[in-house]
Amino acid sequence: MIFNSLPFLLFFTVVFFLYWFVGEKNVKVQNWILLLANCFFYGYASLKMLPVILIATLLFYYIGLKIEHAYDNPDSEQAEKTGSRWTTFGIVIGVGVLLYFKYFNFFIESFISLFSLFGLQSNWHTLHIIMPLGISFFTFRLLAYVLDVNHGKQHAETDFVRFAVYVSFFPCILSGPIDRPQFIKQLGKLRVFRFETAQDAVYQFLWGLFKKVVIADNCASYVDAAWNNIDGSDASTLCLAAFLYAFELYADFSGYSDMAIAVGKGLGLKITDNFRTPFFALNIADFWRRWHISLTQWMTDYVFMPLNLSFRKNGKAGIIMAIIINFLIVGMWHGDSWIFALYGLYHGLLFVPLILSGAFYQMPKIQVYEHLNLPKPKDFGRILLTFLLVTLGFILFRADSLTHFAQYLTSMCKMSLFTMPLVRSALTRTLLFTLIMIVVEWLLRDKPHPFAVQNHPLACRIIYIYVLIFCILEYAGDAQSFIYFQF
Amino acid sequence: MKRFLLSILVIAGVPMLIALGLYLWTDPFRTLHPFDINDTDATNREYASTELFRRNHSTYHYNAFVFGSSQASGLNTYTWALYLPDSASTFLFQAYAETITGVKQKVEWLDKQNAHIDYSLVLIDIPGFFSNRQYGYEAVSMKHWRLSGEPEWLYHTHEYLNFLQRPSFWWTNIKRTVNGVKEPFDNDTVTNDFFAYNRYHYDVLPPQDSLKNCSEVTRRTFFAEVNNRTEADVKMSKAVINSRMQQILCDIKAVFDKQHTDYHIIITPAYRYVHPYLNTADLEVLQHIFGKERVWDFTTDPQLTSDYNDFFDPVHFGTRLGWYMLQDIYGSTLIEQPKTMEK
Repeated sequence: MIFNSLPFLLFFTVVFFLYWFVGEKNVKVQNWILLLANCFFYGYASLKMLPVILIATLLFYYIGLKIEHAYDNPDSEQAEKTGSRWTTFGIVIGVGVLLYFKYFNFFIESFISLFSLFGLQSNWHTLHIIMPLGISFFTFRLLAYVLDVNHGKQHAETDFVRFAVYVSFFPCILSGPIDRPQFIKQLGKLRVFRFETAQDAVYQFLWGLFKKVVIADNCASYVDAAWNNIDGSDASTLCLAAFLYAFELYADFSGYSDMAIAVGKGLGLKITDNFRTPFFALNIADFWRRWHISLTQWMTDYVFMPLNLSFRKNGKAGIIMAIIINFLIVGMWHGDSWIFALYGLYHGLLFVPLILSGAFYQMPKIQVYEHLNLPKPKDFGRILLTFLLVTLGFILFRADSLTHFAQYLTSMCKMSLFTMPLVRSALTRTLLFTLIMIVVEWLLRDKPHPFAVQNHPLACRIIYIYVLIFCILEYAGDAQSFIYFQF
Repeated sequence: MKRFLLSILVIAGVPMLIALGLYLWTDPFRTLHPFDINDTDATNREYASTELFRRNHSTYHYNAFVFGSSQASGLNTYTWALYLPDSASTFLFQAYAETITGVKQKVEWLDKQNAHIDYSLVLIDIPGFFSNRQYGYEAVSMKHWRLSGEPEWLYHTHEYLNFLQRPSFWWTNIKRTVNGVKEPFDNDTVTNDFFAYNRYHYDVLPPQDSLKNCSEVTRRTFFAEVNNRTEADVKMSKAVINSRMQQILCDIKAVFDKQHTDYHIIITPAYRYVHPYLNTADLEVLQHIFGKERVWDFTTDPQLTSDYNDFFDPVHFGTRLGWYMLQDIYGSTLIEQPKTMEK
């Protein structure tokens, strides 16, 4: 059940009315409605896998209580040991579930390939494993929970319903954002309907939908055609397709995130941000502060920081090691393929100059000409350079293998780069809409989300709504699944 | 909350009411006003063929039917009639993206109307043909309520929702109603504007314009690629006929048997050009149900698939191929080959 579908519209309408009318005065009823909605949503997508997420939720609920219980008497010597044991158990289970469902076959295949390199044959076989939907997202939520309870950042949740709602919250279960355990706090308070918030949710949802169906789906047609015919395409076409893929990925994923956040807002819940105009990043560190923020933040807190602490005696080399390991994991999080590891490694290496120059921890701000609202040439150059590096990385991300990547890259570096790219139908409008997205996001870059227009005059807002709906109805590309569903 | 719901109601309600008014005024799909064969540009072809049959059957006493999608344009019923006895009166009972369910609905409906189905050709063209979808939701592929049993109001509701979702088509219809300027419902879909229809048999007359949609280079490249495919590809394709579809096929056969119909099931050359190919198991199912002598698989005949000039686009073939197929089926060479293809 994807956001841009009739079943979701019907589902959400029912949930919305039940939530705000039946559960209007009772927080427990609100939470129960959410839990049932989560189960229905997940079961609708993958009924067979519903038990997996339910069992995992029960188990981590129990582990959380055990950790908290262990620290009941913090002065006891046993407290830390017991707490750490339960935490380790939780991590092993969480990572184990992820490794089994997502990476088991990948490791077996890799070992078989490795053995065959040395002329050895193995009797190992891959298993027929069905990966539960959203596994990368809900396991990260569970892991964050046990780690935060262990570090005392979060109390173990005693109310199972609240905990289960946090783990399986339907807007975020399939493609994030990856909310942190602090989300649970919101579930302890009665949510009150606010007109302004709901109105803002409508704008954000429409903007997300526009990005998905008008920009991402239209870009996808051009990009897929180019990737399906690398040898037969001009370098200029491949180059344009590479840029369009960057926009497709962004519009697809950030469009989903915007819709998820908007749905959360509609239910009076704040979901963490996932994107903050990443294509205006001034360097690669800045890019990752703006791109898939919930994952980056998760990795920073639970992987990079501990690693950095362990390697601190090695100075800058230690930071480089920590960042490269961190990004290898980020890459592999995306899927069971070495190409994702390379994608992670590529981004990790892009950080090296920043670490060496000491710019790694800086938070750069775009210098603009106030009267023109345009970036100064130096910053514009930095934005462009970052975008080019990121786009190159996305070619790696899109490729099926290193050979595929190399084929694309070499085909892109030919004399035909200076010819006109192939103009397919809908290309002009795709480029136009992409440009509109960039301009809108540039103009509203400092707002809470890329289409926060609630302060604009009413007439303008009504026009925005109708224009967006018109474009969504008239210029939608061929329906494509959300790219991040596969992760 | 009330304020929010009211805002949503007003914002959504205004265009919905405007669309409703326009839908009733302009009758965009030509289903509200009495049927007119000369005015069917945005109508779905199943609706048009059903209505044409209803209007003409008492005059022409149709008893020979071709069931299929737009590919049936390659099987000229005039040519087919030459292979049939003089008593045959042909009719092209086609639908956009026809399915087995659609064919079943049609033969059963004809049977209920006490129409004689003495001769029939059933064209299997695209993998989507094997579908047990009872209704359609796109304006061009909706199943006529008379055939599907769907309530008429629901049919019009789906039509209205289709109209509502295409704001640019609102304007098109206003222009059409006011000035008589015709434009197709959806530029991406071959609509009736590209065809001219014979008003007696619903035969498709040369779709000249559709050629413009697919250049020679595109067709040549596509068919070169297709002709490199091997039989192994066919075997690797997934079987699509499940037990429910087998039952539907049996239901079609039951009507044909009851009517003592001389029928042929034709898997057109174009099937090969669309993924997935017809699986061998599917062919065996068809042969098992209808009998080997009635199932004609033209997907692997090189004579029919070697020349891209015989195709308007990857799935629509011309009458020359239709003629070849009829020759094979009826084993006669008496009928002269069409001299030119429609191009």
